[in-house]
Amino acid sequence: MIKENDRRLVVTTQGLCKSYDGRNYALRDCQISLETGRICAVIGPSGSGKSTLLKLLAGLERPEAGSIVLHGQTVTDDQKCLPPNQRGVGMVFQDYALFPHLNVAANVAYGLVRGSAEEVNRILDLVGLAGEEKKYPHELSGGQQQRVALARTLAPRPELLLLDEPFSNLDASLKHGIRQELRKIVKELSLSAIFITHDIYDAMEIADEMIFLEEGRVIATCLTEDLMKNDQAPSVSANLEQLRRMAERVIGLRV
Amino acid sequence: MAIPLLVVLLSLAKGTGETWAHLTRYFLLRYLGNSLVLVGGVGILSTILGVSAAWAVSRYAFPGRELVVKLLYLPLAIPTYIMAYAYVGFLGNGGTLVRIEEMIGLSPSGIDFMNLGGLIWVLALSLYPYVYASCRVAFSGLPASLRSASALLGASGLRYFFTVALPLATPAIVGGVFLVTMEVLNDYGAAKYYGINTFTTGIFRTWTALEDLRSATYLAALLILFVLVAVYLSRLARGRRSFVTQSVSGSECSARIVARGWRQWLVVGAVGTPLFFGLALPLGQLLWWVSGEPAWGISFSLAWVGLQSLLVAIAAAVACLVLALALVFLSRWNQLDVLRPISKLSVIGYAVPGAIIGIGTIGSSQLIVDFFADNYGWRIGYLFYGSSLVLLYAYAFRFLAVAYHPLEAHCLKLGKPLAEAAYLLGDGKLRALRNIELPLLVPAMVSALFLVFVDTLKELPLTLILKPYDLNTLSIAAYTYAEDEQLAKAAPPALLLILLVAIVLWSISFGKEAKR
Repeated sequence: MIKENDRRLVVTTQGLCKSYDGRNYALRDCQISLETGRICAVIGPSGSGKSTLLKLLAGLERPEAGSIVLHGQTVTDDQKCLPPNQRGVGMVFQDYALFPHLNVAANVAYGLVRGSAEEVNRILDLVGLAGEEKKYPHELSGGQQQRVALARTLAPRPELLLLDEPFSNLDASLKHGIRQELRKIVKELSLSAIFITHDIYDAMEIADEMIFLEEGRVIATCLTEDLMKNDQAPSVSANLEQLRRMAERVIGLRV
Repeated sequence: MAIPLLVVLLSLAKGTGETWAHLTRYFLLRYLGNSLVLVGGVGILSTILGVSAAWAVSRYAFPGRELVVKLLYLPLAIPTYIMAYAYVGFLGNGGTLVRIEEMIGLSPSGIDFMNLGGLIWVLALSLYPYVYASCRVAFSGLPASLRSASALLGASGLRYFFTVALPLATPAIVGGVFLVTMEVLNDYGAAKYYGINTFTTGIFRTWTALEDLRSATYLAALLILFVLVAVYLSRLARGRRSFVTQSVSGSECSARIVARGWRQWLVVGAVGTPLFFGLALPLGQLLWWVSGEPAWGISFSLAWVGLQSLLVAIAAAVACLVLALALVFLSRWNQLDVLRPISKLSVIGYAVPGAIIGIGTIGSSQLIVDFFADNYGWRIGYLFYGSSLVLLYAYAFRFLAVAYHPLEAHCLKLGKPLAEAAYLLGDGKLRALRNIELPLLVPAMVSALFLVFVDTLKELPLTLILKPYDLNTLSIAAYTYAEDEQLAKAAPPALLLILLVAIVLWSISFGKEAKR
């Protein structure tokens, strides 16, 4: 039973179900929870329901059944579904979704009611883009575009940060540095974050805990530190079967 | 191909004719002023109609949406001059509206529609599909993530439209308005019928009524400068910003939503206004006229005029296609830098009003005839004046771009690897062209044929200037009857013209929707 005023948890879901065609379910009976200030990775192959879960949390889709409580307030249930801008949630999209006709400063200021230049510069400084205010997205590298997307999402000061495959568009050589920077920023701002990925190494490097999804169901959850203590580290091409065996070993859950 | 254009531009150096002083004193400023007001007014109104209709069908789901999407293209099937006749027939003194008012006991209104405002209205209704078509592509292609990001950042649907969707559609709007502007400058029949003095009507008047070809050519040259300014402004509108939205493979476009409340009425207005005023009302008026025509008048002479129009349009379409293919493949095979500007020059005919091409063709024909007469004593005027070949040549210059651009775009998309694979397997260039490249280009070729066919069927000023004496087309028949105030008799050829164009447009739009 979810207690509506339990504020240690930034997000809890119960019995979330989502179908796009009435027959096949992208998400079934999904139940997750995340404590304030923690970073969670949702891992699974394509079609496992990761993006659907993120969209439901953001309020971009409405579930067929289930409930979502954010910061102690019910935002989705059978009776209501709060719009995205009323949930205190920010999201960085896989394609960054930068407005190509606006420069960096205008992109970052878009979500601010009364955005001052100082505030925009402060955020750009935080993500390491000081001095790039007047450039347009097409004039930036992929890594810089991701930072602008992050800055724009952080500007309205959301309490929960959602990231959709944040590292999939980056060169392998950049990933390690950006993973560390992202974790540093999130912890510095005392944010909670959920990001989805199909790469176990993204999760192991920056997440505090992991959720494994398969065919729309949560099949396992664990803490990253428990996984890291395991002697047999996953190979680069760890597939879901290996992850499942890992989860069984770590938390004793048979799936 | 650019000879008619060069002949007109060279006239700037040759000087003006004997009526030029009269023209500059009484008419030139009026031509310029009216043309500017027309371009501005039609540009703004067609943008409002086209953008709102495109947004309504791209963003919202409603019953009958699939049909409405295609119907919104169809006002393009109604030539501007026919739209003009239909509105006068409906709204004018003794028109259909007056009869309806008398029937229901109201006092007759008799709206004076034959003025600049009326002309702006009919031209915008006929030409807004250019803006609609390009904006529909732009709006439908916006990634869903942009709308989602905007919603998460607190922007309402209205704010998203004005701050994200509309700015990103700017190149599409500019492209559509550019085409509208070219068609406005090209219009002769509607402006003449409404008694509005524009550059094109001035060119005709100077040549036919004042019998001063030299001054008419000079006017045409000034109009070309006007067109070049329009081209420059459309390039300038883009600026430094980029409008290309980043997308990852598989990223979807925004799903349509159901309009509720006041939005519902906005959607009805956005699609209903152009459909009623641009399609239902003029077609209804034309059908009303046709219902009063004797059947034999509709069947025999109309069939013959229709056949002539078809033959001319098919010939022009095939000629443009052959020339466009030659241009495309010569550029690809030879990689000669000199061919690129020649290719670009050859396809600017679409931006040049038909009256200018007509005047330029007459001018260049005269040069050739005079050359052979002066140097060799040959009398070859019969080959040029009133010749079908010269008319075909002028159509090819005017519409080559219409055939060239889809072919070039398709070739760029295919790239060279397929042809290169054929070369490596032993095919020569011509054999590879016949066996590999042409079959792959069939969709683009069909599209090119259809587009030139439609444009040729509708073209009036160029046909009026260069047509052979015994040639009659649907556009000329409708124009001639209307000029003689026989609007009812103008309806059958007008309707047949609209039907032929509509069939082709429907096929093209059906193909585009199927791909989407």
